[in-house]
Amino acid sequence: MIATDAELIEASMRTPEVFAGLVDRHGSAIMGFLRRRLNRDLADELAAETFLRAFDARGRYDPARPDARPWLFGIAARVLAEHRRKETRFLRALARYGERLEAPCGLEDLEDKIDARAASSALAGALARLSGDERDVLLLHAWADLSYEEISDALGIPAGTVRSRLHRARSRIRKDLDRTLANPSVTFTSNQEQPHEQRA
Amino acid sequence: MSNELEHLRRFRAQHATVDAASLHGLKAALNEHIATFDRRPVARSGRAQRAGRRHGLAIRVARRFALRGPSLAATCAPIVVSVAVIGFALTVGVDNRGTHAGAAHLTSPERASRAELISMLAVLRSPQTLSARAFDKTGWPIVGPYRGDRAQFRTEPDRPLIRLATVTPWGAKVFVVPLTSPRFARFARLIGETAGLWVQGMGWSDFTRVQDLKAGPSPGPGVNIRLPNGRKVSRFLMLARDGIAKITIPLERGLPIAGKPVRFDGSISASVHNNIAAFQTAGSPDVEFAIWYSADGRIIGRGTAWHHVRRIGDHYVEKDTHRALEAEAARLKRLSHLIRAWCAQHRSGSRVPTALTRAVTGPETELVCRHGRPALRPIL
Repeated sequence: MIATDAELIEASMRTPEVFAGLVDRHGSAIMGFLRRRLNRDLADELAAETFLRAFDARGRYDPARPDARPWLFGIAARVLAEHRRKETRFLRALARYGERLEAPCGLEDLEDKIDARAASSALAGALARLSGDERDVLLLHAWADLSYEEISDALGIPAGTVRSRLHRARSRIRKDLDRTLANPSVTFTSNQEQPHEQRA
Repeated sequence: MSNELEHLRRFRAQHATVDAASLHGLKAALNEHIATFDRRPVARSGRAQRAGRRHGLAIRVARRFALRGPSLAATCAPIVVSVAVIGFALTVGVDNRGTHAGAAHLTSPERASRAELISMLAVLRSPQTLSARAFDKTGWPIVGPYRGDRAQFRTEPDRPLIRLATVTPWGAKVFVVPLTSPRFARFARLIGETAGLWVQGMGWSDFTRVQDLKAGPSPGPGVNIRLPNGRKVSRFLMLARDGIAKITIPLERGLPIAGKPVRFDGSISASVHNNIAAFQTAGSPDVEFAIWYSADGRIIGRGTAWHHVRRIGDHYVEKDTHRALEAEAARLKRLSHLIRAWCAQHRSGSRVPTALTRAVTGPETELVCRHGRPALRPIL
């Protein structure tokens, strides 16, 4: 019985096939993390790339760390950094067009959906305006639920830098969201149509 | 005041769906990688051990100086530090050179047999992406210098080294496909290391040898296409070795007249991305040579073998359905089935429709039916 990720990686030194167990444990989290930041096809490709790089680098894994999530998210962040422009484009597109609302639903649900969609668009826009480094720290904290120390390990930066980047990123996101949600520029036209930006 | 973390977590909850099929695909890709990697035992911290040996040398030198006395040690301290820094730099440099990601999974003989090709094409030194790994050779006809039936002369795509190099401005995927050496040793020595290109909508290029790449950019496939809007364009690709950043092709004006200098009418240029230069120009210009530029704008050389660009046939109308068939590896497999099904229903000697064969044949070959099965035939 392999209890921890470290044991699993240690076992994969002798039996490489065991390494696939990490996908069962963390594949969903890594793939979800990437899919929220990139289009689906590219995200899936990068998720595979993350695990392949992890497999090739398993000899350098520190067995003193039982949980491999920070290590895997660190690799995912580095893989994603090579596609920074595509990420920004994706987030901007999400901010501009959002996602098609599903039809049909009751009026109350509809209002909730419109609110959620407006918030999603505003959030995507705010994320797109952050720098890549700030976005990495913020999303590893908010979406991957990593602690400051784990983010520090994952990205290979000092814990103080993590704190300062996170503080800066949160402040900027907060300001952006306050501004956008106070003056919503996105309206909903019909249940079947794509919501569009209001022209001033 | 909005709570930004609350918004982010709500966003995560709304966009968190990862289905079992996606995870299955992820696991399959990893398992395939594991199945093909070099199975020699992995030593924990192997790099650190190697680095330790080199640092050990620097430390030994430092200690030897230290034994001579404090003053000498103080004098030599900067030298010792320099030696240690250079040693470390060498260690990192050697490690980076020896274990680049693209070739890390290959066994020593495989790496050695394609070492020259890998050293000349940076794209082969990059990690293999999922789409390159999924590039399925099922139903592929023979590519490479020999296209006959004798197995010992054949070369095949070297799957672990296939790379998705780029996507052309017109949206076609370009794969660089190194080829395995033929089993017949004398023939293998004769042709050396080879690679080909497979381009969506154009199929295979001819094979490229290392010496071709040394001489300059190697011609890939080319095609004259009539777009659905009626416009005729010529598209072609070149495989360029590392160091070539841009390729320019002067366009000739009119036909060459004996005894008179050739007149040029503008030029077309393409920057090289991942060792690939993709050209698209109106009509089908007559071109004689290419000029190769380095990243700093210097002219590296001029090629005169430009006429080797393999153009595929005459203008044909490109339809979305044709491209759609080639869009993914799975569909390429389906295309192969379609061709087989078509052949099963037609007489021997019938030509398979061009639109179908474009994806799987080289520019100098076409598919014909022979006893109910597709077979390659050179285009004369």
